[in-house]
Amino acid sequence: MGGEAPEPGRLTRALSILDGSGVPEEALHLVLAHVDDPRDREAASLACRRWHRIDALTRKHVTVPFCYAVSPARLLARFPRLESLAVKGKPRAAMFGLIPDDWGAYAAPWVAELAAPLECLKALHLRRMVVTDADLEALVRARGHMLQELKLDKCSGFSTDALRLVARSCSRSLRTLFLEDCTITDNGTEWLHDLAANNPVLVTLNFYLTYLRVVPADLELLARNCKSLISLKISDCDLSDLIGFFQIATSLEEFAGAEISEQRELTKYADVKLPSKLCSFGLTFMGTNEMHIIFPFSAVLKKLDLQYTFLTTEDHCQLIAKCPNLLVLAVRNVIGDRGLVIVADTCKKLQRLRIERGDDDPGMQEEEGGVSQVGLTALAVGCRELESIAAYVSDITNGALESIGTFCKNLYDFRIVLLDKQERITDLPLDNGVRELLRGCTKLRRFALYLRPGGLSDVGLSYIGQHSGIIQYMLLGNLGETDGGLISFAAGCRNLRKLELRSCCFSERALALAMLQMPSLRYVWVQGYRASQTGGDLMLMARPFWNIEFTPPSTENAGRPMEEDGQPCIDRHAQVLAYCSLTGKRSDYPQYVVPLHPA
Amino acid sequence: MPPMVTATTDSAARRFAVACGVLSRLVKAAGPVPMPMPMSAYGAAARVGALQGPDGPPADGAQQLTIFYGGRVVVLDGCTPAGAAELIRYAAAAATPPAAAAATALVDIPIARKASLQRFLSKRKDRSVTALEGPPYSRPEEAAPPPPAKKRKTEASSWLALGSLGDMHAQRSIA
Repeated sequence: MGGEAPEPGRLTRALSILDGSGVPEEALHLVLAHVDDPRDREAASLACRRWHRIDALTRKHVTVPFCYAVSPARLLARFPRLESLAVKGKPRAAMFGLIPDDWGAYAAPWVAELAAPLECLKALHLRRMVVTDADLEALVRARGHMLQELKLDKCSGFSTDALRLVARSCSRSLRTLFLEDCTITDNGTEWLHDLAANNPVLVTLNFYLTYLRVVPADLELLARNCKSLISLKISDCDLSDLIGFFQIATSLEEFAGAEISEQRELTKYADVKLPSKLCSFGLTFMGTNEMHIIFPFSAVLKKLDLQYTFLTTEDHCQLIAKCPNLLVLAVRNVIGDRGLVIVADTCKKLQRLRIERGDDDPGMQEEEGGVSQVGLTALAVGCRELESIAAYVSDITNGALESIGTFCKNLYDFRIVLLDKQERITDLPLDNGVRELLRGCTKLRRFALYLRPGGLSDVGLSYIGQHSGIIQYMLLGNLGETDGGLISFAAGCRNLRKLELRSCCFSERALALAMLQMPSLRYVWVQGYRASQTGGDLMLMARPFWNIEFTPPSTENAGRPMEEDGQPCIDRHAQVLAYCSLTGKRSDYPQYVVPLHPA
Repeated sequence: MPPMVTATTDSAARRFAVACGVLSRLVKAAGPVPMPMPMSAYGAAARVGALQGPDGPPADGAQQLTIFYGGRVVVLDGCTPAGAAELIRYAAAAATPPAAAAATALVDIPIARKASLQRFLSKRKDRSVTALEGPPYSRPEEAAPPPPAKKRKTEASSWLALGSLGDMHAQRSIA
């Protein structure tokens, strides 16, 4: 049909002709089955009722970005043939100890209502949720015979007993068991033995950043039985105890964890010979004297995790200079500008870089550590393939941000936090640099900017809105000067779906009005703003299908320390969590959370 | 009583203009907003005119509002109680300390630390404590031959020997 678009009446007739003469159902099924991208799927499902139905029956994977947005029953009703489900729970702030354990995000309803009826389900991924042994039992009972992938990502509430059950029940099917950064009650090491003995098709096993005990012999059994094992990330276990494992696991491509023990006998690591196909590596507490372990395969190394090592700036320089094929690098800021220059010169294919925050304690201070505009600029110029940058910086300039905008055209994820140690920052505010970065990096979907007062003016904040493009997620900290800045920011954000604000100067009223202005917004989390005792002004954003939860500011909350090192994570600042929801007020909120709407 | 006339500054005049803009928008908007009028809370500096129209006060409580400020007079008819409250809020806010002070008062939230990294840094601290106290196992940085820029002194010269052992290992693995 050439020419102008048909009038509505003629379009309806055109569609019905198509239907009537039969584009056969089966054909549509087949075609849609090849459509994987969730955004394409969303668009297809909105075309007409028939396409909506066929999408619902053929969609293989759904991610529920926030567990309280939709009920399990509703999900089941729409997608009865789902094969893979991901659900996310607690706010990201939970990773920083800012969300108490009893806040919510329980896996129970999801498992109870979906594990049995979803007859095609073979992969489940839960992030930041509370999962109990009973939940895993129920899951395994319903799906054990066909569960291929179980990912519990920063979850808590279960023990190794449940893992034993998983190991024994999913023996023919389990390919991926992912438990990274979970809090797991350790009732023994049998689970690993059971897994090794019963699961011949295991490809990926990850219990990195857990505190589970490991028996090296069980790992050797795993290597012997699971010839398909490609990726293993474990908790702490002396590297020298893994010599046998590495000799057997000849197909291994990825390894992280283990540790260099305190009683350092240098000779015992001499016999560690890593598998020949290894191209992704991380070793906890690795120091200058153990670094050489990597040298034999540094040239083929694609992923390197140095976040939990004891390497100095000089070590980083020496090591990274040997890794020209690196795609993914994670370090602490001890890498320094010097190390970043080496990265820029050497790692021309680098796609993802994370620079985490090191120690502030003067006794432990990493002397040459600290990354600034010098390192960032070198990085931008040298690593044009970068897709994701997350960095804690000690100093920054507009120029460095401009460089990133000029050179890193593939960037889809950019996050920067300006540390608070250095009193004087070279070049604030960062208004122009931020503008140029956003204008230059047109593929940006995720953006985080955490500065200090004076770091970004109201004008700068309006630039972020104006040039937000297709950004879907933002974390903003210490930005702007007045409510006006927030309002003008909000006016620009057409595609923003998820917003986190921290330590800002905005009033409750401005927050509410700003949220109303963002058409795509479905989730907002705020901590540290000009809160009232009741959150009353937040009601300005009350509307159907929009839940508002308020945690009032309180010195009583101070009695709940959440950090292990004695530093109390006092959450005396108010928190606001507002989100789109089809289910109404949640029934499991703790007593310190006040549901404002629905009340 | 008319508002306190302090030295007229640009920002004060701007705030007044903003407040008037808000007020006139509210007056033009249809229908009253169902909010109570907490007049007493603001120690009102503006006097809400109590002039009544010839037919008595209208049903929605809209009345005439008269403002005296800096030698100027603004009279607005049909101002709802809510509208008046809004204006008074603005005026009261203008009298309080500027927002910048409030902003700095808020930024006592330290940058939060990721729990996983925090655990690692704590463990490292424990290790360095035992290293200093216990039998001769030094921190890795000290075992390596120290580069010239390094300020930290090694515990004893025997660590240099350990350091060269490390170099030997490196050469062996590469070969």
